[in-house]
Amino acid sequence: MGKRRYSVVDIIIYAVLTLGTVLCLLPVLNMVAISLSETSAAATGTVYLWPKKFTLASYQKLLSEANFFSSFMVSVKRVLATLLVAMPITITMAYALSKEKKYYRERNVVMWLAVITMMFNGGLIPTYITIKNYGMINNFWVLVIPGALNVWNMIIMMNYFRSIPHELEEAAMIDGAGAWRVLVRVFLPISLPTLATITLFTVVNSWNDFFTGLVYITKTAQYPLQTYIRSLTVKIDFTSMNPAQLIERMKVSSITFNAAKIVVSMIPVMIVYPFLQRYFVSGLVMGSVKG
Amino acid sequence: MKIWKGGARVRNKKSEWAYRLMTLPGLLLLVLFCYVPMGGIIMAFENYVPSRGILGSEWVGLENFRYLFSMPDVSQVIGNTVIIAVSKMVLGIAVPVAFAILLNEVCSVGFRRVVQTIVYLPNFISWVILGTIFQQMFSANGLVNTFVQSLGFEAIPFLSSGPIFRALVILTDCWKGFGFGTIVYLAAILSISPDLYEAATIDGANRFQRILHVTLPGMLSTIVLMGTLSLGNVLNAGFDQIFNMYNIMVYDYADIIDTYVYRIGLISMQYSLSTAVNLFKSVVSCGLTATAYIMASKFANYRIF
Amino acid sequence: MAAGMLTSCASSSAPTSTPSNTEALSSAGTEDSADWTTPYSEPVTVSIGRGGGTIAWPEGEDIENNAFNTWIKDAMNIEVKSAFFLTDGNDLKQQIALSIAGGDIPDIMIINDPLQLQQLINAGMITDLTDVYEEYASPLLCAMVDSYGGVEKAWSTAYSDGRLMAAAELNPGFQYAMTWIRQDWLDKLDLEGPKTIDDLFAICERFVEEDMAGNGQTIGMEIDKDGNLAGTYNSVGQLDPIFNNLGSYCNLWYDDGTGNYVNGSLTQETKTALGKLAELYQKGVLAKDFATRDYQASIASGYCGVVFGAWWIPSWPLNQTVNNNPDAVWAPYLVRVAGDNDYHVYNQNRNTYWTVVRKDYEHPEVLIKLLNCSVEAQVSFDGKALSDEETAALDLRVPNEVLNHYFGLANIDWGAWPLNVTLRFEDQMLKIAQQQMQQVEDYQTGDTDSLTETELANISSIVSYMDGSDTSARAQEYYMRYTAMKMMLDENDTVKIKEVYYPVTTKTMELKQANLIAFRNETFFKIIMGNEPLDYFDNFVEQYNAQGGAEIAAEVNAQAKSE
Repeated sequence: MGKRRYSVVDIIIYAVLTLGTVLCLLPVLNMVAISLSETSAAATGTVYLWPKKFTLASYQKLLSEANFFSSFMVSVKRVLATLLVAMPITITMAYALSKEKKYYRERNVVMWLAVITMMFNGGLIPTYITIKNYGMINNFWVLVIPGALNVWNMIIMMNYFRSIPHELEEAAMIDGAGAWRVLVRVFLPISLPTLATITLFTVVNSWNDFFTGLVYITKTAQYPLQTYIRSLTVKIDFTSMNPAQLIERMKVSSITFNAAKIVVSMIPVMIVYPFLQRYFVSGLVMGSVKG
Repeated sequence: MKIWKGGARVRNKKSEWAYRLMTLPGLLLLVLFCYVPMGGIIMAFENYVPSRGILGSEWVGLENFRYLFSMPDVSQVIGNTVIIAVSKMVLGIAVPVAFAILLNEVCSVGFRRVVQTIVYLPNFISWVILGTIFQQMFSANGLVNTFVQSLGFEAIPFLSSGPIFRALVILTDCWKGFGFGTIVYLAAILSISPDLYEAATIDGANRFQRILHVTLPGMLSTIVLMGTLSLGNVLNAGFDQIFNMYNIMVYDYADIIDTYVYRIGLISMQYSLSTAVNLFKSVVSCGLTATAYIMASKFANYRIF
Repeated sequence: MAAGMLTSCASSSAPTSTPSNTEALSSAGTEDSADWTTPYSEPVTVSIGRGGGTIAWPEGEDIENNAFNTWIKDAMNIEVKSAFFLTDGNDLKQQIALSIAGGDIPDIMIINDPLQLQQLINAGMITDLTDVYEEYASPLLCAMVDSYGGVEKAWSTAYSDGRLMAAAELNPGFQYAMTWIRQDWLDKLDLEGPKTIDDLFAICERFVEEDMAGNGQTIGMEIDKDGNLAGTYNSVGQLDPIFNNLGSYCNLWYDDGTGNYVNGSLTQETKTALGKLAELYQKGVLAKDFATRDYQASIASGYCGVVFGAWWIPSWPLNQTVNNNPDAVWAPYLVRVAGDNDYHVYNQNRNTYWTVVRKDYEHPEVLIKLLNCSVEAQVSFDGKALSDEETAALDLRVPNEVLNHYFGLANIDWGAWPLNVTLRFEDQMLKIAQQQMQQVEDYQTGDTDSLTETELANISSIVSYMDGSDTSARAQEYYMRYTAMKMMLDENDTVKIKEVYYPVTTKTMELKQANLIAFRNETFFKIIMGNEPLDYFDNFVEQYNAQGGAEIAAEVNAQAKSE
């Protein structure tokens, strides 16, 4: 779009969007400020957007924890493995289920089988027993495989695939393409925004999930980052007579430490999301089927 | 426009097998990790004792459900849950849709990217932290009330008045989650063919009419889908949020099923009861989702999924 | 501890406590006790599931490989493995529940939920420890347990059918709540410290009238809204000093003199106390939004004049006030009722953690042996690093170098031993207080030889604050802890400890307790805030009993009487 004059409506739109953005930015800045504040100052609850008594103690503590980098690597491995495993499964299933019943007879059955798992859940204990019986306790793959198919993501993708005009597919099929080729050569290239969306969600979910590691992994060295960070608590024995301990332990309180944890968890998103945003581009390529 | 050449029929058989193969890994995962554990739902009909195991515990039929529904306040609690969940659902669609539409109208790509990223961030702050922040912000002497009073009004009892607290819960939840919805709806908008916009402009539509007649219809399938999927959450209403924000003064308006059950201590060690509660919620969600699906199918000839 | 106490161990005869009276202990017969450090001929492995705070291990060490476990392996041929280690109490409960459900619990577990303990006992999943304790407990552990009146009293919550099913914590007394007041405010208003509760109330009113904190935010007393108002020993922000001295033992069970155990929340004394609190509320001494506010933020900001808590609270949260307002000074007081010379408190809750051994583990005595180590570690960490003579006198088997291995390092202490339950002599805190008095005296007379570096740092701060040469926040913190301990020691004769009963969770409690407590808190808050008149209390008692309170009372009485 070339230069144009901004109308009143444009200004209102920008204003509303800016307002929404600012409202969302404020607590993030608040988190950052608290994480950089001295504990007593943060305890008063009056740290707003700027740190009081600036200190890097919370981050120093976080990064100096013995297993920080090893659990960081576990999380990185987990995200990569999840992308490798989950994306193909989700995309192919979404594609198949986007076909109507007449092209894929069992479509409705499979669809409902998937939807039901979003609503019914055996609960923690049966799931734990199941996974234990599969021998996946303390195994890295428990972080990847059970959650590999995210039905919600799959349905979003399926819904998008369904909206692609049939003509596109028929045209390719006439040219001799099979289902696989249609998926890869025709559908995927025009699905970039939705693909980027579910990629983002997959990365975020596998990076931020702490619960799986908490329940199924008992060796701290094998924890993913969020589980590890969560396990770092600041427990202080105030009856201690040892000044060194009291001083040390007061450098970081749970308030500032928790804020630091949250800031750290937001960083991957702020790196990955902008990278994916270039795929949020408009438009189907309709050139191949016109008139 | 159907193309039924002789060869197509053969290709359809091959395609059908391809589709089956494509869903196989996913189905396997679902069976192994969702359906096998689902058998544990029978805990809801037993008096489950962990040491006896799922199969070894005593069967009590509907006793757990009878017990749950005979708790005092249960109807009030369910009422709260529905009110809060439905409000959240409505706002949870309206706001992101509106925001995504506005975002799409913006020309500057840089501005859009920055906004997109930032509005997603509150999603990452857990309610444990946000609960404390909001409790302080909205307290009698907090930021918001200081502002309100400086305008000359009386302080608003956000945290001690039931109805106001409920509104606070709904609004803050919307604020936390709309960035997430915006992503999905924006992707949907971007999938609308630019040709349609061109055609509309040629027909003389102004911006507002373009939104009404091109953008919204293009998003409709996504909106309906998201709405239906969130129906599946109608009895959830947000345990984490309410648990971390509420206090004794607002129990009667803000207690939802999950927080009530938690408070009564029904969760700790009472696995049968908590499974029963979850089963009840699942059945209701499933029922609602199925109803929505059938109605759309019958009356609009549209398959939601 | 009375002489002639039943000793339940094979060895010890004259139980005493540390760190001072070590002479008597040295005469305790050690020849009889099984030498619990004898190594096994074959290596024994034990897997432990426990909780605790994050431990800052030095480079290369972790929960399985560390100095303590190395010694345990070398000296006793026991290999310690970690089944799970969770730093959050709820996570620990969840993991234990999953282990039970999954059918394999670790050899030893540390439990933080009395309900889980009951479950394990009822399911027959844990071993009877009665004999193992008798045989393998070290003289030190026995002496410690006996300081609470013998193993059956010390670990009463762990008994089932007369057998000891778990070894529990031992939480010491001498940590009751005191009244902490902003001394700088008192000085500014030229007021004397309070002697009676009425004095205290009057002082609080003055604080509010004069708006000592400025900006209209002054509060008299701060309350922890999540703390049930009273009834948790060794806590902060609860109102025990007011309730107890008015005769109310809110939220606790006790014998009303007729052999009948009553719930302290339902008594007339509690009603009286609530009435007084309601008056305070009307006068603005209690925050208008005390039911919803964050009391710690308020303390940190310096808004309140009075906080109730144990002797250590200058370390937290009171130090937050001083860090943010360098002129603030908090001082402790013991406030009584006019005409009553006694200061009323109640006894501590001895057990909140338990250690259990799973049934069919071949070496249940490993639990006791590891506890022996923990006891020695705590004795060593609590007082000071012990000298060789003291070590010999206490018959410590763990060598000093091992016990002191992590001494002085931050974020790692006796909790790094495999079993991290608190084990202290009943009067340990009292002895520590006495020791500190002695150390300060010694320092002032120039006799500093017996002090270690860390103690020197502590004591010199105290003395510097006293003579005014150091008015930093840290010095004030140590000085005020010292002052509180001194006050507790000096007035110890007037302290009357009400024996309250901590019941094991009963059947009805499991289902109804949480709801009843919520109902009770809601009602009390309403009465205090004036939303309900004081006489509504009697109506409340009726409703409470009807909703399950009466059933629970019957169960508690049955339980208490059967002991």
